[in-house]
Amino acid sequence: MIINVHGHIRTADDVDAQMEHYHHPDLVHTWFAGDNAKVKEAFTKYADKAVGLGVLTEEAWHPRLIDQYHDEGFKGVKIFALPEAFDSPTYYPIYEKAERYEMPIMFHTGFFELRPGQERGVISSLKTRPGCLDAIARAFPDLFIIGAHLGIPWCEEACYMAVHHKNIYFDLQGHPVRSLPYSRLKHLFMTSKQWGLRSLDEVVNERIVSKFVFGTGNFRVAEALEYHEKLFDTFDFSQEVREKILWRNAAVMLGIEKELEAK
Amino acid sequence: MIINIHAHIHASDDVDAKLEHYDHPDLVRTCLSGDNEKVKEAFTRYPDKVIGLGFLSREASHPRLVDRYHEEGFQGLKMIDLPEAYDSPIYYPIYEKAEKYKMPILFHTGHLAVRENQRRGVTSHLKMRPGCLDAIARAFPGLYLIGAHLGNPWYEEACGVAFKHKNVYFDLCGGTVHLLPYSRFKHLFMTSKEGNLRSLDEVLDERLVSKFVFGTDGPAVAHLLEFYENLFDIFDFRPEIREKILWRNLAMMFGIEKELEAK
Repeated sequence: MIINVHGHIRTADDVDAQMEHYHHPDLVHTWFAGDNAKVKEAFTKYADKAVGLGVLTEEAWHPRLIDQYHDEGFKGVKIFALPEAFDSPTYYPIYEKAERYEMPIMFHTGFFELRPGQERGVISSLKTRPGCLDAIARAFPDLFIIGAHLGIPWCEEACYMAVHHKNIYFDLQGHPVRSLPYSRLKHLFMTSKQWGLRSLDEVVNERIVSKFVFGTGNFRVAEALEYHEKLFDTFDFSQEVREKILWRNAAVMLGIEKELEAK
Repeated sequence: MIINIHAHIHASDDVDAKLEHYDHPDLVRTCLSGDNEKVKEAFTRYPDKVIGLGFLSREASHPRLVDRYHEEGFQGLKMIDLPEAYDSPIYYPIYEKAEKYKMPILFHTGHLAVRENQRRGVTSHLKMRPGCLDAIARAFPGLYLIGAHLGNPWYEEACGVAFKHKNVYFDLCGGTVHLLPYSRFKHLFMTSKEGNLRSLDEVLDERLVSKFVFGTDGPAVAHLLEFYENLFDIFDFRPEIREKILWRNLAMMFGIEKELEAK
C-alpha cells in the first residue's frame, strides 16, 4: 500500500488527468494541495482516492480559513511561506484550530523557490527552516506536522526534529533531496552502534527514518517509488520502517490505520 | 582530577544521596544546579566538594536574582528555556552582573526535552541555539560561558563558537552527543593538516577540543567518563588537553586552579 502525501493540482490542471498522472496499482490515495477549488473538485469527485489539503499562503492565512476548509471537507492544511516565521505566535490560532479539527499540517520547509511577485517582499527561507517546527510541536502536541523536502538545506535539523517530536514527520520530495549523495545520506541517517564510542560501527537510526512519509511532488508515483526503494535497500530499512514510510504514518494521521489494515 | 560542570538536584532529592550518586574517586568538585535551596544546602554542608549554580529560567530570570545568588554563595549560574533567545539584549543586565561577580554561566544549548506543560507555550530550541552565545561572548569578554550538550543538534555551530571565543566552552553530556557515530566526530573535530589544501591529511583540531569540559547531566561520573575516555583514546588527545577537559578549564573559571594544582 502507498499513500502519497504530496500531490499537486493547479488552476490550469484537469482533475481527471491529474488523478491519472498520480495513479499507481498500490496507491490508496493522494493528498492534494494547490488550487483549492480544483482540490475540492478532486476529493468530491474521487472521494476514495483524493484527500484535500487547504492552502495557506503569504496572501491568505487567516485562521478563519481553517474553519472554512474543515467545513468544506478538506482533511488537512498545506502551509507555504508566511510573512513571519512558522513559529511566530501570530499563527498559533491556526495551529489551535487545526489541532482541534484533527487536520494534519504539511509545511513547506527549507529553501523556498523564487517566484515573481516577491520583489520588495519579506519572504525568507529562514522563516521556513525545519527548526521552526520545534515550538509548534511542543505547543500543539496533538497536531500532526509534516515538513516537506526534509528542510533542505537544513536536513540535519530536520532529522533531529523528527527524532525528538512524536508529532513531526518529513517527506523526501524534491530534486535537491533526491540528489543528495550517499555520503550525505549516511551522515544524516547513521548513528553509533553503541553509545559512548564503545564501537566505531554505525547503524541506520530507525528513530529518524521511521518518521518519513512518502510524497511525489510533481513526479509519478513509480518515479518517486524508485528513489524510496533504492533508499530502503541501500540502507537496509526493516519491513516495519518501509511500511511506515509508504503508508502507515500517513494513515495514522488521518485515523484510518485500522481501516486500511483490514483491507 | 575531575570537575563535573553539569549535575542536577531536585526539590525532592536528598543531598547526601545525590552527592553519593555523583561521587567518583577522582572527583574534586561537582557543580550542582536545579532546586536552589537544595543546591545551597549542598554547598553549605560540603563547601570543598560542591559549587552551586543559581537557576534562571522562564519562571524567574530577573537580574536582581544574580545579586542574590552571589550574596548567598552561589559561584555560577545555570540558564535554561528563557522567554526570549539567550542573546536578547533584555538579558544583558544578567550577563553584566555575572561578569562583575565572576560567575560563569552554564547554558542549556540545543534541543530541550518535550514536557507536558508546554501546551500553547512559546518555548523553542531556536532560542537556545549555540550561536546565541556569540553575541554574549563578544559583549561580555570577561564572562565565562559554558554551553551544554554541544548545542545538539547544532554541533558544528557549537564548535565554531567554542573555537572563535576564548570565553566559550561546551560540555558533551546529554542523550545525544554520546550516540553520535565516529564519522560525525571526525567531521566535527578534524581540521586540515596544512592550509590551502596543500595536503589531504587531517589532524585533530586541538584549539577546538581543548574548549570542552567534563559534565555528566543525570548519569554518574563513571558512565560519562567512559565516553570521554573513549573519545580521548580514539582521537589520541594529548595529556594536556585531557587535563583541560577533565578539570583545568573549569578550575580556571572558578579560580581554583592553583589550589588544585597544589594538591
